[in-house]
Amino acid sequence: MFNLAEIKDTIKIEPSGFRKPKAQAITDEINRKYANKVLQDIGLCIAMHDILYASEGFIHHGDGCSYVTVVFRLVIFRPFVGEVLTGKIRSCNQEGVRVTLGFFDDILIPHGYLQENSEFNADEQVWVWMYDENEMFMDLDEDIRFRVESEQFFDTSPSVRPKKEGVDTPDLSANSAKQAPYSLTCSINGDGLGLLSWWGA
Amino acid sequence: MEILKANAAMLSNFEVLTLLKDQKALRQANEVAGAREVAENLRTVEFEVQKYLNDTPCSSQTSEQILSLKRALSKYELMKVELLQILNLRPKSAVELLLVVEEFEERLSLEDCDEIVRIISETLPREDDDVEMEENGDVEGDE
Repeated sequence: MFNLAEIKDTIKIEPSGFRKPKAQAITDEINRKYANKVLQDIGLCIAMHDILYASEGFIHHGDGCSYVTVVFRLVIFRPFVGEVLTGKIRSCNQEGVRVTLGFFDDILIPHGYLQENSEFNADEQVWVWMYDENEMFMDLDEDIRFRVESEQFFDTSPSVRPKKEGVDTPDLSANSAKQAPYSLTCSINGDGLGLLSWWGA
Repeated sequence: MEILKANAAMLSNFEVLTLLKDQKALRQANEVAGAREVAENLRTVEFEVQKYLNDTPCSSQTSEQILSLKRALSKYELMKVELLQILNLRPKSAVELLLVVEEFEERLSLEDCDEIVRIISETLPREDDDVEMEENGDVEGDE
């Protein structure tokens, strides 16, 4: 579920950071820049793991900052396709079940990927697995085990966002695409998958 | 920014949790020497990941336990990713184990499965298992 990515970047250290030891200043800058951000086709960055190489600091004309070329490794959250994870149910709707890991929320189990014979209970707003004669409710906040089926990256940087046609309303929030930069599509249609309580855990 | 290797290595949950704890300890040690501000985004993700990982089996693991598990399971020729998931999920029953093993029908017999589950619960002991064990009547003395 976690892996390491090796990245080379030029890190800017402001003069206020000069009082720190160099390694500390670089670490702080890298974490400020990358922690909790999604990199396209890489995954969600958690924190810096280690520094492999750092050049000397360069100071450019007209600016007091020190620029250092750094090769470092980041801890990335990116489960591989087919991996089994556990999380908690965040919400249910007609579309399917949304799951959260606490630090990552964009996980959807579409209704087609639920256990066979699952039905949406409109009164309680939860999905129910009809297993033989039993109704197995998928209540919110229950622990759930699921398998990653596919991953989607969506570039949310402003320059390349396609303008949607005919939605030019004054309401700015309606214009902005609310798509997550990195999301997972998962399934629970198999033995051992689904709520942990179903399998006697 | 240049990506040199998108996937240089895989980390187990245990390694990530250890890293986050170490980083925090290091930072707190430095804070005494001179106050250092922590970036908001780092604090958020650190807190949430630790909260998640503390609820998973990796919270009670040690590197010795992981080594002995690896040694005990070496004869089953499990793939690296399978071993990694066994470590992260710590299957307690055969049905949980078979989820993470590909084409298990050809590779493992039913006895193998039971044996692996037994090895896992022995090499990676957890306090919350004791309740079930006592019910079964086989309480292990030490560890």
